[in-house]
Amino acid sequence: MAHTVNDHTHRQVVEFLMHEAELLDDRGFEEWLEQLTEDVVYQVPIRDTGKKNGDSEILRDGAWLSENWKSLDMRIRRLRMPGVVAEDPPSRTRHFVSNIRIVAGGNPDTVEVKSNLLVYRYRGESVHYDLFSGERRDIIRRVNGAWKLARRDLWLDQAVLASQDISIIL
Amino acid sequence: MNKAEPQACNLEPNLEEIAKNIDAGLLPSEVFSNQAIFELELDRLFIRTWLFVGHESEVPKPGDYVARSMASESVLLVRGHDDKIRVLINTCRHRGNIVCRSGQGNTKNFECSYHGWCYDNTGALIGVPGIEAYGGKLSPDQWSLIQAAKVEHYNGLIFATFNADSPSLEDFLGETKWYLDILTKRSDEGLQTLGPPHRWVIPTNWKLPADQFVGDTAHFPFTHISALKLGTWPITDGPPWVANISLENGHGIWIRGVEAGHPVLWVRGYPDSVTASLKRNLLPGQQEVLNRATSLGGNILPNLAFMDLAFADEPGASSVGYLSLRLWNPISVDQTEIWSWCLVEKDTSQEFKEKAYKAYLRGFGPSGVFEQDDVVVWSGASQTAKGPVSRKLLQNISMGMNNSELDTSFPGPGKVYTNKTRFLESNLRSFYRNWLQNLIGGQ
Repeated sequence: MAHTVNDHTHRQVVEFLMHEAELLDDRGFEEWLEQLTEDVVYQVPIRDTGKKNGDSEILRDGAWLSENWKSLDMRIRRLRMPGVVAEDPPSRTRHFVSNIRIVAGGNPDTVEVKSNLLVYRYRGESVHYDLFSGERRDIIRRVNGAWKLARRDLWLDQAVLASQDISIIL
Repeated sequence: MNKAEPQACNLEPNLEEIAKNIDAGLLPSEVFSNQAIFELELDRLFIRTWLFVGHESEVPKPGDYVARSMASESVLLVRGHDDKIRVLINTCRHRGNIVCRSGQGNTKNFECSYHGWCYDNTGALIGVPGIEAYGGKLSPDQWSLIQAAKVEHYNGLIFATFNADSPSLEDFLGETKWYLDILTKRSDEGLQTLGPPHRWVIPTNWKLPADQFVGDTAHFPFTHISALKLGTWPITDGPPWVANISLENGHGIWIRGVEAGHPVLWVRGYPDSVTASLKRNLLPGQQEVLNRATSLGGNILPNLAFMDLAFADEPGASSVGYLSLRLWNPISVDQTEIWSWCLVEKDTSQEFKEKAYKAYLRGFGPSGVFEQDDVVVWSGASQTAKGPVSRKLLQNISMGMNNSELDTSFPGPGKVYTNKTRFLESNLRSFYRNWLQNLIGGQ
């Protein structure tokens, strides 16, 4: 049965999420990649509006992003290339990670974490900015003593995206 | 929202002058920013022509529905209990409230949340609370949901129109059918959509993506220079060959591929069943086109675009073929909602479908490495078109006008323009000429 983790693990997991957000906001993408397990699963499913509330709104057969380590590495290599039109000038992002709830599995080296995510993105000289809001459901695994992200499901709240692209890492 | 940006102007456009400019390969920027032109487009083009509403695989069972937009009209694409597909305007006949607020589902009835008027899944009014109050004068069959004047499909692509006097869908598509067959008839079982469509709103006039998809093969090595270096684009042998094929009614197709004799069908990674069925189902000339096109796309006037592509899902992996349909739904003169679908042949394996969906997702849709860059340039051109000086500037769409040849040996219909530089805008001129004829002719 799931149970809460001890204070020490709790602190480590919170620090992991805060560090990860800092790396993304500081454009430390390569170092961010190192925080992922090699078999990472990174999913941002499409949320459609059904007649019933809750889980049924998450459409498992469609996604805004469906990534693994190699494809995230590909996206990050592109962000560093000259001629990457969507990120030239690069976005400024602010990842706000809050409402962190940790549930331990049976394995002391694996924790499940739910958190709320709000990402502010500003680009160029516009007065316009984007907000991405959603719930993260992460699985974080200890590999050789270091916590790494093994799975992320990000449930964005929007059914129709109000942003012209997702060129950043959420 | 964007108060620091210039606003759209609303000057009476001189359509005859625009027509002369287009014939000279020039396009005034105001076509992307003039509110009066946008209103004409809605009144004289969008509500009079055929508009794409969905693929038949999205509503496979009686009662299935998806919410769609035809220009700014909210409509429901529904398969009724009688198995007939209809397009119902999502507006309650009583007081105009939206009848259905969900994006998709399966239902017997649509009940309005305002006063409880209830319609069945064919649109018929079947329940009016307090009907006695009308003293027997309300005849429910006069108050059904309004249906699109015509709904027709071509190989599973469902179109609808509000215009009862429009030509048939087949006449409207005309020469384009020959090319659509290549994309839709490869398998005996047809196509299926993978997942729901991606929907997102971009600060762009709808014609910028439409004119790029109708024939802008020239932006590719510039806008997409970074995405092309990622190792997901299949490398083919054979001398490069690019064409703009201008088709009836302002539709157009572009092909990026190779000269004949260097078959590239392999880039699509089809299972044997599809390779065999396409040989049965396609004419020899259609097979030749598929064998020369590493990518093929186009736009059906006004706002349905398509791309038949082969990409790898990861750098260095084998490529797979998929079809993307995209709708440029006009919200306002400078806001467009994109609807983007990924489709594959039904009789491909689950593994093929997953690979195709990931290849699509990483290239197109809001997170796609190609699409991200496209949207920036469309939005940039839409923004400058509002400038008091820029909106009067004439853009240049004359590429290939004086340096292209008609390929008369090409097996498909239409005017097939090609040249050695591979830079062509023939289809853009044809698109805008036809667009304008609609605005002028609809007076």
